[in-house]
Amino acid sequence: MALPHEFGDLEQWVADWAIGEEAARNRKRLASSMGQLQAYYDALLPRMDAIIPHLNQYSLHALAPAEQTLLDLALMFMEAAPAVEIYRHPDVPWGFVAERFHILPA
Amino acid sequence: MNKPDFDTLHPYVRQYSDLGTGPVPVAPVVSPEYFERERETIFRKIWLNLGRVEDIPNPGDYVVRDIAILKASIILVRGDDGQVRAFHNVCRHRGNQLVQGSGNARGFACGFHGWTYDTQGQCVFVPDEEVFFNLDRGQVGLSPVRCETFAGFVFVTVNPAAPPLAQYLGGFGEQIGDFPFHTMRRMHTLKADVNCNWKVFIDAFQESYHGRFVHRLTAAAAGCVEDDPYAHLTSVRLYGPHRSASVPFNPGYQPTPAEALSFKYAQSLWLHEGNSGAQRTPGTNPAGHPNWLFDINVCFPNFFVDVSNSWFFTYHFWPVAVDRTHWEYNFYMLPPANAGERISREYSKLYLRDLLREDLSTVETTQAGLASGAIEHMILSDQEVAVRHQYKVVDDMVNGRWRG
Repeated sequence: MALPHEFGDLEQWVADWAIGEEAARNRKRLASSMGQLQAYYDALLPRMDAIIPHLNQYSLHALAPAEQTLLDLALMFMEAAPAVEIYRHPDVPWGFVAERFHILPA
Repeated sequence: MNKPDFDTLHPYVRQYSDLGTGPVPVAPVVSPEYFERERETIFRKIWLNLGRVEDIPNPGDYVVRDIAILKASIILVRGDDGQVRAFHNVCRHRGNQLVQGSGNARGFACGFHGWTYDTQGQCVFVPDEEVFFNLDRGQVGLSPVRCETFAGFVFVTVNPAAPPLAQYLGGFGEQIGDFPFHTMRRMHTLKADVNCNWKVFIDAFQESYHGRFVHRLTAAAAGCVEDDPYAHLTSVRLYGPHRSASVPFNPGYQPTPAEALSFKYAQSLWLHEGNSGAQRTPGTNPAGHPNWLFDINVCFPNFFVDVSNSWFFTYHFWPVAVDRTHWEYNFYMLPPANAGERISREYSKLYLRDLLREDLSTVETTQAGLASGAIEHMILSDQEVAVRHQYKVVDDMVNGRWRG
């Protein structure tokens, strides 16, 4: 199992949605259908109040692999959220073209 | 709901009556000749921000900034003595570029003939030195660029006669100087090369009028209310060439479930302890407005430092050509103490990133419209006083009228 055992219900999302970098998470969002984004959002939202206290037990800079994967799922939830809650579309509907908008890590 | 405490729809023309109310000419954003005059009379004369001290925290850290409007490549480097300096990225031998990118080094060696300089710009090695003619290495250090720091922001100027940085920033620097910039950490950087004039680009970010339209699905809800449907700026302050404006907060704002989560575990992008005007972070909300979202702070000519209670961001608008600008954005928040804060901050970071996709959506089409010659003037409202101020300052400088 890639996740802490309390979060086995989320194991099915790990392969495609546990992504470690913002630019890659954004590409995943833009490449997904609304159905896929809604399903991911619906699966993660009710678990966030369990995920966060679980992860808060550990140092953010020394997470074990299972916890790091869980954090990546939570960050991907935040990436999916504007598409589902605000835009009702994978991308910003009339936004500046994504391919010319470069996202760089800190 | 609280309405801004103005007794007129035109407070800013009263406050800054010498700016006038008439239409503003289009020519400065489409004329290549005007662009060249801006290069000579503004960008080569003035302090320009190139980043923050945290970009080069340790001795030997360096970063190269290629500044098209100066036709210069500049190395920012922290010397072994801890001092931040700037140098032209130009070998003293025959002018080759020394280095690119960023990193940590004990010095810089030119790839052409091996001339080597240390992190204080001194020339320390010239290969085959004896075949030169009485070469004194002490006289061939890197050409320095004037470099000063304010509140951790690193500025340079190629003008030996520019006043000290703090004097240049004046009241603007005093307003924002105590903001806790140094306690925050960059979350990410966004960049784009955009086909518009740098001033057209800036205009999209220095009024709130566009919020109801460009941000109709997003930020409109955070600022617009029934008796203030266009989220009028609650404060505008002009400080010489610089300016600051405050954007109001809708106290009835309802976060989405994800934003509610973000606010539950940390301060959120829009929801924070400063919304009600109380618990103000130093350097914010100069008018102490009771419904406050964030401040727009424009450091002339091309640098924004917008601030909220628990974040700030910067925009740099680097002119490349009359109709091309290199844009860079950096977003900073307090470093997360735990995963909950990290996840909370992700919401804020991404929401604002998507908002900027909305903002960038108008500028190329606006530039194309202005370049067509269809109109010769722009019509500006009282709320667009910052836009008006920018054009006036630029035109005064270009035409030698600017007196500070």
